[in-house]
Amino acid sequence: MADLLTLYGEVFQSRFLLGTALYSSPATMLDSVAASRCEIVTLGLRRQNPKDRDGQTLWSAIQSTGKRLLPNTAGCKSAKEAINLAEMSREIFATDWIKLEVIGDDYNLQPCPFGLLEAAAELTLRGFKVLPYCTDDLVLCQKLLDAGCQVLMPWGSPIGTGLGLMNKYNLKTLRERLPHVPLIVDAGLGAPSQACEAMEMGFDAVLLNTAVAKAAQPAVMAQAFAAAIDAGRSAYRAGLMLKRQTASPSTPTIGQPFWHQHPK
Amino acid sequence: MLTILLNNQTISLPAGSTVSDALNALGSSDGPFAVALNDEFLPKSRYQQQPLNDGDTLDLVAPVGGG
Repeated sequence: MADLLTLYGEVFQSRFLLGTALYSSPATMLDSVAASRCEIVTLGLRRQNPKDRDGQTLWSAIQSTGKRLLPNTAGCKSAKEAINLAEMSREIFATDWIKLEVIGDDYNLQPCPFGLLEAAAELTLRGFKVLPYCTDDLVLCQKLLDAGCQVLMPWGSPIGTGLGLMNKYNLKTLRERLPHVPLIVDAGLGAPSQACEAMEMGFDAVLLNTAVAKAAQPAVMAQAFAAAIDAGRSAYRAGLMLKRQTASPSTPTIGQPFWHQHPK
Repeated sequence: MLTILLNNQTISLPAGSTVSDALNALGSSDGPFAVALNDEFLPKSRYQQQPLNDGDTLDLVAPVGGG
């Protein structure tokens, strides 16, 4: 049976969402998107003259991928800023989907739970399909669901750190307590093994950018992440063995020659 | 004359100018962009009618790569 990802009623084969920032060139970004086999790419909005040639080139490149666009509200520090930027995104990109970011701390770019919740509720009322970038706090996630979010994107660790899954207890708790909610680990992943671990834990997908864009060979790294995400997903579906404290032989002990036949 | 802040740069426009006039002055009437007037989203459909006042802040945003 096909193992598909459903987000807001749309169905995807890939469980890898990839960012379009920080690449050395639009061509490198395009190669990486292709190698990742992703179906959703994230992008942002910034102050600039629309006639700026660099901006137009990158936008044309992103458009040419034909991928579903997931615009973000990166850099917003209040619900009001995020709501306005989301409205601007909807007008430009003609999509109700929004990766909602409301940052509460400049040092670790930690999402502000209060602003996030306020913005999520208002944007849902305005017809947006909100994918909030949030912390791994269970109560916040429950409140975001109450506000109308149908997908949650808890952080693995702070954006751009590459620290991986910082708080596995919280992440496991989210997975166990919200078994039917699509959960995407967003941010902080630095290595394919970390993405694989997130998928093994039962997360539905992974979103990342820096680890691919800043690799020496971004397209090769994108391919590596794609393989790791597939492997982790397969392992989760296959069912991981339970860990235990003591050894247990895998080779049968019955019929073991020389067993207890030490000379007296 | 009126003076506004457009993407953090001061520009002067004739009195009675609209948002459309400001965009035309910048040569930015086409392309993928959106506008906020005094930190509030302004839909494209309102550019021609929306008058500008002295001291207004106009922000133009366009697509960039993002994570």
